[in-house]
Amino acid sequence: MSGESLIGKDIPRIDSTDKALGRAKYTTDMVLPGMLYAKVVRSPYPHAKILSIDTSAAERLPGVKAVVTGIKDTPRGAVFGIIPHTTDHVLLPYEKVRYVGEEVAAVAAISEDIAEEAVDLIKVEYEQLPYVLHAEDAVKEGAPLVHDHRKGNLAARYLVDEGNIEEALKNSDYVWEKTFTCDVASHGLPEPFTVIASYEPSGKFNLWLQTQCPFQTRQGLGNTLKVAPSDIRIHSLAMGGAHGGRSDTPPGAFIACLLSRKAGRPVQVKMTREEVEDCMRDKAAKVWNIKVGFKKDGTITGRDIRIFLECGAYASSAIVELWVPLLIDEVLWRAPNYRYLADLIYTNKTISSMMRTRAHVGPMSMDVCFDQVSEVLGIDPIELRLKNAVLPNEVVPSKSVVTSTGLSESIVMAADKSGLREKKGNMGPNRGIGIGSGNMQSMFYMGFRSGSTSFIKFNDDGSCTVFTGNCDLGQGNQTMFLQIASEEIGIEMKDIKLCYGDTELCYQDPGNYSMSATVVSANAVKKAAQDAKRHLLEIAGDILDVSADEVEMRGKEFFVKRRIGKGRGVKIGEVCRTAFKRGKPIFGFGDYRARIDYSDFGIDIKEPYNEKTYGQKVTAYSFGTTTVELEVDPGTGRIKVERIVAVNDCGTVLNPLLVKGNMQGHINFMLGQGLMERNVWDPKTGRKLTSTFRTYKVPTANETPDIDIHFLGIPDPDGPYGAKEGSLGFGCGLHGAISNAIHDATGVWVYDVPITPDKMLQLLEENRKK
Amino acid sequence: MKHDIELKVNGDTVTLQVDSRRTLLEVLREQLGLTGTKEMCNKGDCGGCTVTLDGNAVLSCMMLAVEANGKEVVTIEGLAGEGYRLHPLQKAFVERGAIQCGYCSPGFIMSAKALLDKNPHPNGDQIREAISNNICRCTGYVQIIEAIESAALEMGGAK
Repeated sequence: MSGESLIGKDIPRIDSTDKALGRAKYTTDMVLPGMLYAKVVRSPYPHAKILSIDTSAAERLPGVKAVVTGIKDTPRGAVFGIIPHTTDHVLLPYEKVRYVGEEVAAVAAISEDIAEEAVDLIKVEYEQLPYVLHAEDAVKEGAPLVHDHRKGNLAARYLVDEGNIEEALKNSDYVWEKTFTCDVASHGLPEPFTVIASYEPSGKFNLWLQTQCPFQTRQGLGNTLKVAPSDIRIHSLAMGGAHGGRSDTPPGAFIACLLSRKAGRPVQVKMTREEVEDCMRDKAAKVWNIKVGFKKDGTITGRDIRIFLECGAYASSAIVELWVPLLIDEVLWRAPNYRYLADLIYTNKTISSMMRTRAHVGPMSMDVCFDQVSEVLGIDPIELRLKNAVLPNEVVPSKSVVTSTGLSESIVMAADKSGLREKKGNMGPNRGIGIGSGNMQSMFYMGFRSGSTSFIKFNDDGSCTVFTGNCDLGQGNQTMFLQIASEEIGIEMKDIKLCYGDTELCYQDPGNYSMSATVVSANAVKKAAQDAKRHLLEIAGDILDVSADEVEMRGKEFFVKRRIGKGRGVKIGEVCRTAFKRGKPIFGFGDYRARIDYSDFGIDIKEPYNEKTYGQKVTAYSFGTTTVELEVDPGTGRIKVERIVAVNDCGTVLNPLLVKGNMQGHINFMLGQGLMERNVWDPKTGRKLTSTFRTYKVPTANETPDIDIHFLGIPDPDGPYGAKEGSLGFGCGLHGAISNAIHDATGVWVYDVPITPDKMLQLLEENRKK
Repeated sequence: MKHDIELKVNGDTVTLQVDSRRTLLEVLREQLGLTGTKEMCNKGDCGGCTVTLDGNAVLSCMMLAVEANGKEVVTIEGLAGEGYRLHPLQKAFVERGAIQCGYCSPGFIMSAKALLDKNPHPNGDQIREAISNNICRCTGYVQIIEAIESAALEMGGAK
């Protein structure tokens, strides 16, 4: 090392050479000796009782090695859910199915063809039940109950009530109220869901699957298989997309384990594209009603938010949908009186869960609010935002302190760089510009999982290996960990290897959940590297006959500081070998616990209601602002986004090349969900009609606008070198920016996303009739 | 029904017995172990399985292996030189950050390869068109387009 810092350098991803060569191994590429191929019998009905399952013909088919059904094989009382209140998901059900595509039985055979044939031989007798597909119908009196004991299909309710919102709105000079909605969206993951489970005679399961959070998946499988989590080993491989969609304990993994144990052979479950879209996870549809009180001078007096979210058939992990919008909404704009009341509603659809863009309706509603209210109060819309934007060290309604924020700076910079003030209203017919702000958490409360432990072992040649329970979805975590270890230790990245996401070899880590990799996992790696460096300096000092603090590392050698350039140095390999001879090899240990309040987050609730929601629930918040310039085609309703300016308040930028790429990706994802991506169900059958890329439209290179990226570089006190979440928060206001730009272009306000051409045409038509 | 076919794959001539139902994608991945070509949608919607067939980009999931009989197939594994010496496209994808999860990357690189082989100096619209059948959920395409432009420059310069 030349001593030049790596922080802030453009460093290509360390795993991308293998990926460019086609050498990287994904789960779909793996074949184990003796591996069997599984196929799953799925419910054709959105809601039905399972009366009987006859597997005898399938079992007789030559080549079939194991058949499992919920009735025979699911351990009773073993239910999945990420918190006690929502342990409602039996991964292979035996009583009822609750959506089209739900798992009912499975077969493992010596070939996929035989497994498919066997699946057709399984006879399931159902008693069909009435079903409900949309939250607004599900809450009505007399609606079919998805779970019999959850009246009104209310899976869970969440409330934060601070100050006196009723009084505040009554005493406001102006109250703005609107309802916003968004459709169910898909992750559209490139790599089909695949798992290989291999049961060992010792009672241990080895699993290769795509998971963002190996330790949580292990826990979920342990709970549902009724085995100790330590009897399950999750191996992490390259992963073809995740975006929140691989955060759960998937039924496919549970089924592969059951089949492998029964057959005594490794079993692969691989889903088709339709199975992935129908039976993995979606993002919840939302109805977001908001009232905002203002004083004449533009100060917000209070916000009253009432939301309904569709969780689909199970709340098991969809529960996160209930509180993450709060962790965004309560933070962006100051509100001395604040109420957030959210209901999670069961429906007979694909299960909802985490997604990188899950909370966009909240930020969107406020940016539309500011643009509309600015006209009413006669205040410049940017000034109105700045008046209400959260400032550093402010306390949000649920009592988290915002330790760093550049929200105001991002608004000013985005407006300046885009020329918003000059362009607004002056872009010509059907063209417009809009602005929107967003934020995201860097690590939210995850109980005892809100921390990461890393360690580093040195080899006798002076190289080392970093161990972390975190994994890499493609955003560049592997590169970040080696960059940080290299920065701290002082050896080159090429001399550092990485072992990641292996539950047997690594310590517990939150995984890529709650945007924690930078603040939590990387901080743990940093501390481990600092610890290892201390040991290196101590041994080098011993060899050089001085104390550790008199030693300096230059390149791969250690020198006595005052004799640099004169005396002999000692090479790092010699230091490592000396440490081995002494029976204490060089080792670094690092643990980082998120700065959060570990008391009750209201998630251990027994009833679907909670009000104990106060305390530090997020370690750091990222912020940012985007502007959108677009053109609306009045003939087709098609919206073409031409230019985006994005200002990111992600703290110190560790690796601009990678952060920019992640930001461009997030913009693409947000554009998709803002303009085209939506799932549709057939009301007559309860089937999803959008299970392929032909029916579920996602953006292509043709829809990519010009993107102009800027960083604020305001360091966060907790993040490593001042870094925090850098890929999502900046862009969560993009839908507000789109909505405001559409208004600038056409005079039409949009309250519903995605704003597809048909919806746009309808709005234009209604506007013409006015 | 089984068929004997002969393919030239990444420069090597291989003779194979394939089931008439098997797609080129299945045969490449399962019979020849060339897992660099990815299965994404298996119905021609995403471009993940793109290879070149006699120089043209094709979707290997939409083609039966028997249809490729006597033809020349290049997969992602066939691009690098000895000792993993990266093809300019592969190098540009790495250096420009055009690869994130990487699952769609082989398809993009092969679509771009077919483009540059025919049109060494494409403009931005031609690049976008050439990869418009390839879906990426991570990158937002910007760095992919930059990588193809950069590789075109480097390859053009070499000529």
